[in-house]
Amino acid sequence: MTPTSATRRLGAIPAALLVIVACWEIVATRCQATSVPGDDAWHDAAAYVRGKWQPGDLIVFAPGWIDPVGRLHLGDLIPVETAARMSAAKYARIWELSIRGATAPDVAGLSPVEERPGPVVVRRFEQKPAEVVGDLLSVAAGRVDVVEAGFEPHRCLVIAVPPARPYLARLFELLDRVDDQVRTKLMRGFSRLLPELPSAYVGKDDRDGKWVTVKQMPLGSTLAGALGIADVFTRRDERRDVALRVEIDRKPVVETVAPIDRWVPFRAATTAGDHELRFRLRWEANAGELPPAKSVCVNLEAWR
Amino acid sequence: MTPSLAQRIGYRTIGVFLAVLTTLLVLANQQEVGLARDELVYMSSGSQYAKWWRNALSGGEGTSAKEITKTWGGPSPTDNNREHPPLIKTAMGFSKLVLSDWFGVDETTAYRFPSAVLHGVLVLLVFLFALELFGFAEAAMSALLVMLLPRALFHAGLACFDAPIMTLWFATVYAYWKAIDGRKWPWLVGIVFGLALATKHTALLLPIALGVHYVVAGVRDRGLGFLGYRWRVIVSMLVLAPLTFVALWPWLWFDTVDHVRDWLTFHLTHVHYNFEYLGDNWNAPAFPWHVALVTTLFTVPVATLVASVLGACSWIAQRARFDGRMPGLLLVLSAAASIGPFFLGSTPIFGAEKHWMPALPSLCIAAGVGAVWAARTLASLVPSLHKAIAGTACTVVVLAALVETITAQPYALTWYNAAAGEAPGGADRGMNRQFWGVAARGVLPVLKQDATAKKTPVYTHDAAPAWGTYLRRGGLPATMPDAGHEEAGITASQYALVIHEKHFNRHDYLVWKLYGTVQPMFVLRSHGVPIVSLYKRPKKP
Repeated sequence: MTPTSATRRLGAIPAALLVIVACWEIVATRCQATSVPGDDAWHDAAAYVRGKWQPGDLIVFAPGWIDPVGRLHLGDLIPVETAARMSAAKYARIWELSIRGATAPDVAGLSPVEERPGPVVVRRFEQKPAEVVGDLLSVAAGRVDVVEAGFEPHRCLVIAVPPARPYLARLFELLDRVDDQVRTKLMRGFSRLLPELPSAYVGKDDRDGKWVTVKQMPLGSTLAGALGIADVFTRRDERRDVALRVEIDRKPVVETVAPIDRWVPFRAATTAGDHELRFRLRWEANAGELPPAKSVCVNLEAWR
Repeated sequence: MTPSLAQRIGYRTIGVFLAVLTTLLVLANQQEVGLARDELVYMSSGSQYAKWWRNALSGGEGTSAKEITKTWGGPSPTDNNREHPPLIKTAMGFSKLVLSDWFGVDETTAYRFPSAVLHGVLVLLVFLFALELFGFAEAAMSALLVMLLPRALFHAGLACFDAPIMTLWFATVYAYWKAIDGRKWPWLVGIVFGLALATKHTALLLPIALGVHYVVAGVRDRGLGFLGYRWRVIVSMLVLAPLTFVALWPWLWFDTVDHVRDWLTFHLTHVHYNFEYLGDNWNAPAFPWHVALVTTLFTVPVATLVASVLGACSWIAQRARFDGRMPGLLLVLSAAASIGPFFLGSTPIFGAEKHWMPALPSLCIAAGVGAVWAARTLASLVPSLHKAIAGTACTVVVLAALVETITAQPYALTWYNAAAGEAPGGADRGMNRQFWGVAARGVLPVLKQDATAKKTPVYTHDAAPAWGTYLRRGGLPATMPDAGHEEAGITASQYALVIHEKHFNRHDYLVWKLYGTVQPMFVLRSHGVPIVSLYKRPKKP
């Protein structure tokens, strides 16, 4: 073989690679673009689930982006409260409809007791459900709503949390000591330097974060909860984390942090019976800043 | 020697044919593309601008500062869309006047026509540049690969600036390259750069590419006296470009410095819209450094990408054949100036590839060179089948781009290439699904079919700006008006549509809450990937 032809043959490798890639792309494009099952497959899978579905069953879809199609076919079996659940722990039976080999996070760690293969794979999972003995949403005062937190739907207690301002602590002590008339004058004077003062001067209990107290919360062996900062636009404009501290009978049991865009679950061991439960949500603003209160979505359940 | 078919037709004629074909392709494709949120603003401003020019040129009132402000400016940074230069909007306005008002072409097509024509011009310019540097085969391949860029084809069909600036950016690069051949009057480069400035602010990055190239070429030619290398080009760009720019933008005819400062400040302090990338929602810096790289790798046909790598290598190997004007360096610098800012982590990423599309002509010229090099290399192994092998190799590369382009439309913002796994792969990877509410058009037939004589307002979500146009142009019956914004709008509505983007999930949840159901009546999909959900308020039990 002459060097020229050897070089030419060597050069042919990347050239052939290009042709191979192009041929692959022609085929792969069509295959991949048609790889998602259509409505017929969903209809069959949905009919199968409907035949065996029982009230109280949870239905989930994987991957997450196919959720609208899943709800199109089985949405009538999914109440809003279920779609906006805190977690899947309290459901004894979970149906997962999955495409492209995906798995829903709700069934992580569980093994299917039933599986129907097909373009839309149906799996049924069973678990010992968490028995809820106490629920923050039914005992706490405040706004219970379905909101977006961590880009997921969550039914929760929505709490407006203004920023804590520890640098004002001494000034607050001073203002607490004087009478109303003097306080008003002082506030007016100081607020020229510290425009945040009028909104920051709140009751003593809420100066170091927003506290929510439930005097008698029935507890079991586990306290499960989750939190997230609601509303994507608020999160864009004010990006600081929110810290959570949960106390039972004034003893801390959970300390965690919710960064923006995340739904943060947590658990703590508890002793059964009625207890005082309180929690604090806290974030700090700096001097001179006037950010709006953060809207924080919190849920807590006591499991037997 | 018998002349080839291409020689007989004439290379330039073929280039023009490809340009016309591209324009027709864009115009045909946009028929299926819904109205983008921003388009409505540009269309309305464009008509205003065109009206003003007609009035001014016919000697009517309108050229006083007060009158100009009424059409072109105002106290707020976005009054009369003064945050964007006017060239393309003005062209849209005239296009609408001529094509729609005089010749009855549908209004949307008329507004989108200038962008489509400019995309054709881009194909022609790429063809001509590659023809001068290499030959017909490379020119034709480069032009075809530009024509068959799925996302670029989509953007070219919108009444926006992203495709036009790609053309005018490249036109400036080409004009500069021609200008540095030593000609005495390089006036064209200054004017074309002025047109680019009058198209989109990103043209301000061009001098970085051209400046570096000028210094390198100048130093090679003149050493330390590089400034005198082709000094007339500098004069042309410094004098004719601003003159052209200002001449086309009446808002700059008074308080010029203030108005230019306002224009630039708007873009330097632009709000960061939400954008999904690799599963996360990004709406504030610091953005990942690799956004532009990964997005480009996922939104250009794979064969085109591979061909561009081969082309770059081939180009380097034969660099000695080019003159001192260093076209390879120029194209690299052009692409780098366009895409480079997106590696900083602070440049807004919300428009993804549309913001760095001026990098694509460089990539496609390299791809054209690479594809032809590969074809010739393979063909040389079997000389007896030379033409057949070379032709087949080039054809499969073009076919790959063609298949991707056909697959991508009309929801090209949801499309990703085969390496990403197409639209479903893009969704798996958490790549941005879409923006601008374009896809809403796909649910109009479903709504129309469900319409009754009773008034049933629609929560139109991100399609709200386009809704009036959809109603006016017969896409929907008048009984389905826009219900309004956010919770109040959903509460007043009988139908609700939610356009699927990660940060729009909350609209789904608002609808669930207020309709009492999570079940949509219809889900519009692109290759199986949900892009719009349509809900109907359930009847009260």
